[in-house]
Amino acid sequence: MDNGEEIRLEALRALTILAVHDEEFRRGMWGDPEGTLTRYGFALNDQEMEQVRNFVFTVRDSLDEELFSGLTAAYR
Amino acid sequence: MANRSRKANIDVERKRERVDSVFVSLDELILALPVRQNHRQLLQIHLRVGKERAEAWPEMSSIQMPLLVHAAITGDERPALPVAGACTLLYLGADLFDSILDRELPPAWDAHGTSEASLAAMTLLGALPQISIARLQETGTPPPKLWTLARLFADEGLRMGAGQYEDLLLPTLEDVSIEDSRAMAEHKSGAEYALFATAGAALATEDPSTIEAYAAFGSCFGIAQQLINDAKDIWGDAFSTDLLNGKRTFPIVYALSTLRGERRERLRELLAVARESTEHHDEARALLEEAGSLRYTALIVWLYQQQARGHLASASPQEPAGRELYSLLEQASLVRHTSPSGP
Repeated sequence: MDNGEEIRLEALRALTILAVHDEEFRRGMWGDPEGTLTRYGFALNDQEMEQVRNFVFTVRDSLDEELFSGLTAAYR
Repeated sequence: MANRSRKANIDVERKRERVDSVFVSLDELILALPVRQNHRQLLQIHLRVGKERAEAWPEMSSIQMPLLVHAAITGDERPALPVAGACTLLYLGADLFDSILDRELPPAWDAHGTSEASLAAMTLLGALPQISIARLQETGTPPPKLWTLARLFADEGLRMGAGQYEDLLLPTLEDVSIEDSRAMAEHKSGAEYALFATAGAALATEDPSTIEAYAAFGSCFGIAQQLINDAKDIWGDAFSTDLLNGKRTFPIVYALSTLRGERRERLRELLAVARESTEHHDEARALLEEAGSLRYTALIVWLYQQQARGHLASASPQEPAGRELYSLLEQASLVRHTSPSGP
């Protein structure tokens, strides 16, 4: 396992708790994930930050382009 | 690329073989039960429903996960066959009860009433998993380990029951928080998947840290899968069963927590009329999308999928079972191409 590819578990747990409980954090994540994570005290390394950024930008920017595999295709 | 494709084909073939093995063993188990023929036939109806589903979707977690986790620890999946059988019986019993409650019994039950379906569900859920576990005695599994497994099924079954209760309770409450809805997913499907993974691990090893790692892997995987099912129910078909049944699933609760003023009230109205007919389901979906429910659900699914990856990595699974477990987990996503494809 290349641990550089994984986001640390404690960071993921903290991200999940904030994403469920904190509305301001949720809003910030879609607009400025890097700034929001820094403001909330996360110290992610470059690869971890890259993964978060990739995911957030993929979802945010592709919403109207049938991003969701096999899910919205039948509905849209 | 060709090598990866060949491995994927081998993995699919292995999944199908596991499906066959588990259902052959369950056929034998049900044939040997000391019950009346008509009672046996009721059990066989839902066993056939389950088998057809597993043939169409060989990834079925109750089959793959206990066998793969056992193989990931010991290198051999065969000793875990009775455990996979027990997990599949529990899954089929819970599924049948769900279908009865949601008034969605499969066509195979058309000739029978809900009383007979309830009897079959009770037998599948309450009695048969223990009988399947008892078969481990034939291969020399010591009594303390049998007790550990039996207790595990009881504990996780209780948590699943708590999740089902919350599923019934939440639509009756005025305000439901996102955390309430997340917790329900953890209790319903998190507990179920945790059981599937832990049962394979508990048979394979005494090491608590390994068992805990697989339990956490299963729990996170199950939560992700529940939220995917919630999203698929709303956006994956022409009409939504959850909207018809008035359920407060994760995307709905998020929208109710996020929308304000008239938009929130409009969603409440739509959710009320969506129980009566499918006419307003499109408008309800549109409002859920406007609230960002699908994006948000995708985010939480991704966070749990990543947590499950971390827990699996911490268990250092043996190959090739480890690769197959990562591959199963990879499918638990609402988004394409955002996470690495394996360890």
